[in-house]
Amino acid sequence: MIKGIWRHFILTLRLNFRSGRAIAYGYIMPILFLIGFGAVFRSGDPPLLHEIGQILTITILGSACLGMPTALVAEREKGVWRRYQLLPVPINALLSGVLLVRIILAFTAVGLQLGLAHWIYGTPLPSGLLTFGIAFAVVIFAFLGIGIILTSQAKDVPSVQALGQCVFLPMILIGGVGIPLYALPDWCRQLAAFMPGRYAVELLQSTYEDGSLQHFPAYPALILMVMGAAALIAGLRLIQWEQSRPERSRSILWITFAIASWAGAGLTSIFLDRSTPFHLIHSPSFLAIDEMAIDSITYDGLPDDHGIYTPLAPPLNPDQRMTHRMREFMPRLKNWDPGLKGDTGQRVRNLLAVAAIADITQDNSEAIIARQIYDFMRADFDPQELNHALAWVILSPHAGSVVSAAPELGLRGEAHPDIIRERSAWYARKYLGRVLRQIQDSQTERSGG
Amino acid sequence: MATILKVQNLTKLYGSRKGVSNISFEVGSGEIVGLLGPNGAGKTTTVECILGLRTPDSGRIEVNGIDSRSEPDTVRRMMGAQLQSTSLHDSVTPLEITRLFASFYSPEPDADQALNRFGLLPQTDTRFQHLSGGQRQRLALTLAFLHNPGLVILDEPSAGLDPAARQDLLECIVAEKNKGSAILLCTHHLDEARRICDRVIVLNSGSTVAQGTPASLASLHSETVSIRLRTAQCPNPLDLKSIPGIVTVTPSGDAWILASSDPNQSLREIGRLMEATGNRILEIHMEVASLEDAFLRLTRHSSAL
Repeated sequence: MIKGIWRHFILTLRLNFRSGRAIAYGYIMPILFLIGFGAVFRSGDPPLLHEIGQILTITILGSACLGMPTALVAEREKGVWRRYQLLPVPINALLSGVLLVRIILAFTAVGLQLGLAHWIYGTPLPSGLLTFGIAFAVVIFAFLGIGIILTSQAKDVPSVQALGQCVFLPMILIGGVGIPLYALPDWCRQLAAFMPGRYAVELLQSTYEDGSLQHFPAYPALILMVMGAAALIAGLRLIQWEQSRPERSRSILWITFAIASWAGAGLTSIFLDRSTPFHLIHSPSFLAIDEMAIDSITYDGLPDDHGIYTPLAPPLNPDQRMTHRMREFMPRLKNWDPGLKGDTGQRVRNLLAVAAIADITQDNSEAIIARQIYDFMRADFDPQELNHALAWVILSPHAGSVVSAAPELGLRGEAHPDIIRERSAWYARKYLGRVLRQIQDSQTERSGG
Repeated sequence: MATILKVQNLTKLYGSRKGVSNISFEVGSGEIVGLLGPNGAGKTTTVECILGLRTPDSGRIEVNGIDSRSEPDTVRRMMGAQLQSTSLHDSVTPLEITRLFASFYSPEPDADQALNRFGLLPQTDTRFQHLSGGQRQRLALTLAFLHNPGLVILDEPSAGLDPAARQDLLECIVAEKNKGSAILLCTHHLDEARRICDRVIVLNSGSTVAQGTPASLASLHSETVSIRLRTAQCPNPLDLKSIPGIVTVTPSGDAWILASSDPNQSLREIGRLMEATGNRILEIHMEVASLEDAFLRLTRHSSAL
């Protein structure tokens, strides 16, 4: 029997590669998604690194929830599985071969995407293959269970494809898979907490960027394991090998069981305040940033200092006329608690957040505020520590905590933490570029530093 | 002849609708038993219950004395099947699928030998989608007989085949029977049943209405005998109709087909009529009781009941 199961596995793999349609959906589509993401997000540094979790989740989701159910239902429609039922082997043993084939196909598609991303865009490869491999296994386990349920509910190929789209599209559009969570409104982020896609993105992204085992993101992994187990149990209970659907009452019972895991995940995440967009909880602190990491930072494509996005005033002239508010700003900054407390990395992050808040809330003096913060950092921090702290903010924008308002500094309004992180990273790049003389800063150049 | 398959009081209901009710029959080694019946008679339900694709509501099915419900895997090893509505992957080759199926049996049958047995050696590497209808059916037979099972169930094996392909297929089936296999054959083609079945079972509305050899069923249940008559001069059809025993008179080209309920008397009277009218018989041919007639009578009668 083992020999038969093995032969079935090999034959299933071989037959997949004889199908032009399967190759197109399995490999061409992921490449197209990669190119699409590359066209939109290539200005990232490194390009596509912060979107890799989304890209890979789309590939795995498509394979498990569209590709596999379509293949299984097509075979069932033909009567292939009906014939297999007459063999002296448990049918689920053959199904396990199908699932293993699907894992291999998804794995090779992911490998192809990563290879192309690295070659075309310079996206770094995963930092830890073991942890990334574990993350991949957890994600595909979760999605294959959903695929089995879809197979059990569809009578024919058109209906399984429709059902697959009902799962695929919401996750892509509002589930944090296609459109990043930070770009979605609050209600979408809450809703995404109930869907496996959002956890898959977090898990893959985190392990891609930080491959250390001690920083393995256990929470999204656990959520996905629970969802996957519930879906697999329900799917195996419901799947039929004749071309008929299970009894309606049974379907309702077991699908409710599977969906209950989604509901539980969402409620748990909301209760634990984990519904906010993914973040790298265990990013290395600024102390772990080395010179090589600092040298890897580039300064191309920075927003114009005179523009509306992260503006930065030129070096201040001591005789420059300023408003009363700006004259009061620096003394307040020197006594501002978040700028004084915590390690250098967090202090620098807090100060950058002030510049970001001024920018986001379109403060009248945003450019000058940004300059004053820069000057304060140059004067107050050890140069080496400052370089490492700025590099840490650039390379780990989601690490640490973030200040979302600074009324004590005279700044009105509040900004969303994700946008603050993004703007802080841009300011950090502008500041570090000036410190390292990679960017011309006119007064610095005139005065010799 | 050893009994290979024993079906006792098999009943399967679909809600309030009767699939099959209290069906009982046996199939022995080296015998082909035909399962006949109109659409919806219960043939497929019976076959699916035997194969384990459906769970009967009551009754017992034994293969080589082993209960199929208590030891389904053991029973499956002893059976082969060719299902009516089964296809295979478009791009699989006969050799690949035969090797796959062979690997589930011990000792593992030789796939090349099996394909050769049904004349498929030239097509070992031809993809399924490029096989002709006859070749596909022979591949299905290959898979059914692959492990030399004691019992083989064939459901409409010649469906969709042209006469030549059907003839080939029937010869293959008879050859396997002669090797000792017990074969249960579901078919709509009564001439198939007449030609190759040792016994037939007629189902209607889920119940058995008759069992026996094709000849005995035909003679017992046929009401009329066909007489084909060709004469030198065209006879008056009213004269033919008035012959005792003649039920119907139908023209057929330059001849007449007379259905007779009493062929002996009818033949005598035909002779007297020819003499009386100065006509001459050029051809007279009597067809023995037909299975078709018996089948129609059995299934219409039981439906009327």
